[in-house]
Amino acid sequence: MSDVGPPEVRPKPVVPAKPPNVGAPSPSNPFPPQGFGGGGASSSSGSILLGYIGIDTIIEQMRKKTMKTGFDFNIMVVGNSGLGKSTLVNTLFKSQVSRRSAGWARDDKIPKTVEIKAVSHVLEEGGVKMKLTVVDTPGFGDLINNDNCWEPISKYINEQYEKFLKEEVNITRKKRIPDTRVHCCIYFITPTGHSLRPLDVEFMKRLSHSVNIIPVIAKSDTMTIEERLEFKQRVRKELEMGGIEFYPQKEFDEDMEDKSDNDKIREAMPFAVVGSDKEYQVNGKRVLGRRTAWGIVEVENPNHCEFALLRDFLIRSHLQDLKEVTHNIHYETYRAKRLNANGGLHPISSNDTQESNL
Amino acid sequence: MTASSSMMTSLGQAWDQTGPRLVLDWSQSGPDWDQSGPDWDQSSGSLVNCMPGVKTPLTVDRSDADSTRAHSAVCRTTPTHPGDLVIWLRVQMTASSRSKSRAPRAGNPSRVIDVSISDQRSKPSRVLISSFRSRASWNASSQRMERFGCKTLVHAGRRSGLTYFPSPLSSRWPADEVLRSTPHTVENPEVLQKADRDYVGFATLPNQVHRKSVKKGFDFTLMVAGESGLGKSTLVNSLFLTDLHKDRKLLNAEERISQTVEISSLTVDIEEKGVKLKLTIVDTPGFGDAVNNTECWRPVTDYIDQQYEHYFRDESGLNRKNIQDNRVHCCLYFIPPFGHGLRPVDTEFMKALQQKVNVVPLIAKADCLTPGEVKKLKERLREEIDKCGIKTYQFPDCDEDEDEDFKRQDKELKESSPFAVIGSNTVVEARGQRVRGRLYPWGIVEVENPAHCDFVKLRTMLIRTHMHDLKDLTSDFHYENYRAQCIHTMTSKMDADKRAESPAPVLPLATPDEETEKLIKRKDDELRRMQQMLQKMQQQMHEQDL
Repeated sequence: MSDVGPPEVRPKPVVPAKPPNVGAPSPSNPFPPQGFGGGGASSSSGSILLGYIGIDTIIEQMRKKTMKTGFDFNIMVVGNSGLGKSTLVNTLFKSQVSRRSAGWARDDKIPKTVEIKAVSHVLEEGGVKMKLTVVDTPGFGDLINNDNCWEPISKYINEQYEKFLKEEVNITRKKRIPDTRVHCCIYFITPTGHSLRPLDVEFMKRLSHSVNIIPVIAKSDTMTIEERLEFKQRVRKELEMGGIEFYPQKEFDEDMEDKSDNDKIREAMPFAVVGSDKEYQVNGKRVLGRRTAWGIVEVENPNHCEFALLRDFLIRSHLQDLKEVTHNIHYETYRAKRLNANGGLHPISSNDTQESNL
Repeated sequence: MTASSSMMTSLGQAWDQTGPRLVLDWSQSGPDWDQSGPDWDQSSGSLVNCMPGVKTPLTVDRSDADSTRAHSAVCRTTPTHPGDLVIWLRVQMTASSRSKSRAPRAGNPSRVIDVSISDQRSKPSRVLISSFRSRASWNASSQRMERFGCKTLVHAGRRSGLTYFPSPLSSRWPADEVLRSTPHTVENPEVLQKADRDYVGFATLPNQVHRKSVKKGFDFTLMVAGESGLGKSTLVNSLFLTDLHKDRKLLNAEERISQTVEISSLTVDIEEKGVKLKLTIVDTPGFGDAVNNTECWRPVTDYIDQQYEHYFRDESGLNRKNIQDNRVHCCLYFIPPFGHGLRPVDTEFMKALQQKVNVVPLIAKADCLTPGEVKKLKERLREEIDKCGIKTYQFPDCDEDEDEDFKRQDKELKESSPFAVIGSNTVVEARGQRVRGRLYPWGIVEVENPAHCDFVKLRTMLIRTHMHDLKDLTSDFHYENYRAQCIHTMTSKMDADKRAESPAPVLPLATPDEETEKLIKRKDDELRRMQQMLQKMQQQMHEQDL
């Protein structure tokens, strides 16, 4: 999947400035014909251009730069064990990126507290390099007493913000601060068919203000289509009642177009997904799926499950937006809190340990 | 051939001391006696030339004729045993209009649900029943029925008006356990005369017991435990083909945060073929749902103990005629299929309950697992259950002299525990039939298809074969444990009280023990000395040899 044509997403630069509305950028043709003249790219500033300047090539320049530096993306998966978290991440990124526990032959016991395990891989596609870090949370919700099992996770997220803050506040700071902040947290909901569990609500309430949470319904091949719709409705209602703002948050929609796009997505969330890394032959095609005694569940078939929607949403349209919201909003909130609390520019770090493992 | 009818009791009376044998032969010829059917070989004591015949309708002598449709005819007397009613059982037959018909499968002797023998033509002196493969025979020396293809006959259900066959687990066949009386009995004087001399008649005791129990009705209490959303209510509905929870209010997550585990029990009276069953389902909503689930099984164990205590009090009371038995006979524990094995809450729950009630673990919602995953999960669960030392309900072993086939089925049943089940409240159209199932875009899951899930095995085990065993185990084992504990605590309390009351020191009851102990010690010393001497002598001999 190489992105030769114009990017499908409206490019938003890291610098929070409103990008110029670009008409139809064609990087291979930076010098459009003369007649392009005045009807060209002009934002709300309204000045008429008397000739072609070439401002729109900034897109191409940014693109070149990004391709050189690559970018990183950190994703965290949270949910009870056995819900298919690792499988889903592997299916999303079509490679073995997640810490696949030796699965069924695993001998180790369920950890006593929630652990945080981060694994990084570098994926390359179409000349673009991405450093993908998957943060796994084994032990979440597995104990008998799950009180405060979200604390280690919250702590980890804040630690990453702290790290970034310290780097930023340094007098001589690096040109490119390594970004380990969690950009997106996928929360796996058990498909009970009734409603959310108290643990789900507690977790999402506490963490929706520090990280982008995307709830998904795991192992959704347990439910028939009607059950799935009912369940989704009930879950959405409960999320609303609990005041849980999952990504894409309503308050951060920038304009009408954004709002309408995101509304559509919010209506369809939480996505009911099925993950699989095995391929089967269906109708002459090789598809990813699960073979049961009564049929093959195809992962990428929109009639079977909503994996394709999730993937498009997460990777193909909102990947950059996730990073932006994390940087501009969640990180800023944390930063403001910290600076206010310490009343100075150079905050005294409250915990000296830089380890992410607990 | 004298006129006959359904002559069950008289048949029983006519049986001679060598024991009854039932041979069922389904042969095409119907009313005509087919000379080429199975033969009783006197020397080998078994049937020879057994050729399965083709189905022919059997005359059914019952008022509700629609409920039993037999598929074969009875028809033959063997030359050596005149008067034998020979029914050669070969094909499955449907039982009642209420149950579903099962197609005969190749090589599977199948399950006969009811057999009603009412042959108009002859009055057999013996009725022999056997399946195609096995040839039942009465062993006079061991006084047992051997090689009896009992498995072809379903046992748990005692259908009124029909022949009742003993449980497949026992091949013992005392003279008349098989038959029960039907309204029509015709005495056949000649045959009777011959056998009456040696026949006392107490072999009809099981029939009397049967009649009494059917009148009284049965009761069964089933507890379902597990997290919410695992399909417990749906499974119970599918098992008993009723809708027990018509208007259930499902709480949402906010309301459930502050909820504790409660116990709700629902009683329903169902009747099938004249047999009444008072079914109580005990549900445990809220189990395992909260964030902090410490001791969430406490209300469950308390409830079970309460029922035992209630029964105990009733038993020790004055009026013991109508004791209500609300003790929990079986607890189905639902394990979620999403995990990789037992979770801590599962282990703790089963450990707390294994001594109090028969625990049957199940894998819930098994339709989200592929067959490979089901197998792996079952193995892992079995391993973990063994490792933690949890004693779940074990099926009793079948006897040694059962059929190979039956033993194999039994082994299969045992190996597929814990059962992976799927329940459904809806009926869907699959392969031209209406079955209970779940409709997915990628296929239809049939609840009663053994290739899809173990629901049929669970139902067979729970209702059709082991219901009584579960009840027996509850009252003989778990209840007795509870009772012993109870009495023990009561007496130790009494002792403590007594001792508190009497300030004088307790009599040295230990004196006799001391004496015996001294004796033992003396003997021990002697023994040791003798051993030492022996060793010395051996050494000396050894040295001498050298």
